[in-house]
Amino acid sequence: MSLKDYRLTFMTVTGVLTLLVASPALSRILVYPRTEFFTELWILDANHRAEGYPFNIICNQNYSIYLGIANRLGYCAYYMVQVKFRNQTQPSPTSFGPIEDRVPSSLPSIYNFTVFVADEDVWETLLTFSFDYQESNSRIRVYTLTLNGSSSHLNDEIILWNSTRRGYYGFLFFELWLYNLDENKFEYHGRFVGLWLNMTVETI
Amino acid sequence: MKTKCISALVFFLFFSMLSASFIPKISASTKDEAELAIKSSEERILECYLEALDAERTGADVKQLLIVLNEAGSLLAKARLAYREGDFSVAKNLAHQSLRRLDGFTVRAEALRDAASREGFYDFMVNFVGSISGAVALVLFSFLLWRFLERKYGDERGAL
Repeated sequence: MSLKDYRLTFMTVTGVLTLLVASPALSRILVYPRTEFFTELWILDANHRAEGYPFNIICNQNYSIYLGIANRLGYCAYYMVQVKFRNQTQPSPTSFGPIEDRVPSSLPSIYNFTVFVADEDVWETLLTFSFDYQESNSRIRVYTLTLNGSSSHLNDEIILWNSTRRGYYGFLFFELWLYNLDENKFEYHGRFVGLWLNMTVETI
Repeated sequence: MKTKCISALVFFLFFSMLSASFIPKISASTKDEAELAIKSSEERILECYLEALDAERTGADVKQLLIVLNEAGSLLAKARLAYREGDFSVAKNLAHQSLRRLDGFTVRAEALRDAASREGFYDFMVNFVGSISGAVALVLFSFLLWRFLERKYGDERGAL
């Protein structure tokens, strides 16, 4: 056999070895770029499941849920969660359509908390809440919302009796806001999660 | 006796008026202080966030920094709530706690950023420049080896 007969084998071995040696550099160059940048927002029940959410609420009784945020924006993000409460007629935020067209609820927030989440990281917290309210003349006046031990007045929020669904319904929701580094301010991030609550009244 | 009673009454009325005129001032002062403390805390948190972001851009793992920021943010949220509820002294205290929580943050962020910057440089030199150089050297070496083998054994038919 002549040397030329080994040419292909030699070239193949050289090629494989070259690829092996160059693999750390290639792994940097041949990475498929991230094209989807977004944030996940969720609420789960007290058992970390999506089934036993609080619905029928009793005055001054504590209920727990988990609120979570997953950051897929490509950088550590500065979020603000605005906790709001509305009745069936007050304005709701939007979370469909182009993100720049989505609007938050015009209602004032009851509680704001800021959250910093690293890229590709998840933040989750247990929220325990209770409402103090009173019924009179087919309406409920909600006085305070206590969230993780901190009470906040709701400026006498009124919930009217819903005769078709037979209950007093309030919507506790969490709007996600993101700090915009170009504008130097928080902007609605087009996402919210919430719970419809049936504010029950004890009958004597 | 009557004069004493009148004097006491006048003194009481004077003291009450004096107190009444002072209380709103003290309250307003506490409110301003609380507002100032909250604003300072907000600004400091934002500064620290930008420092953490800067460290992250150089490749640092900023999770520990974000834990501190979240703690400071939580205290600030409570301060804002206390302020809204009219509890200004608590609001001021919480805002100051939030500020104190961020003591030394800049030093930590800078240390992380510098370490990440150094690591990034070595990583680039070893894994990118070193890897590419190694691959080029391997191809050159193989080429030269082949040429050498060709010169030595190329003419000897059937030698291998």
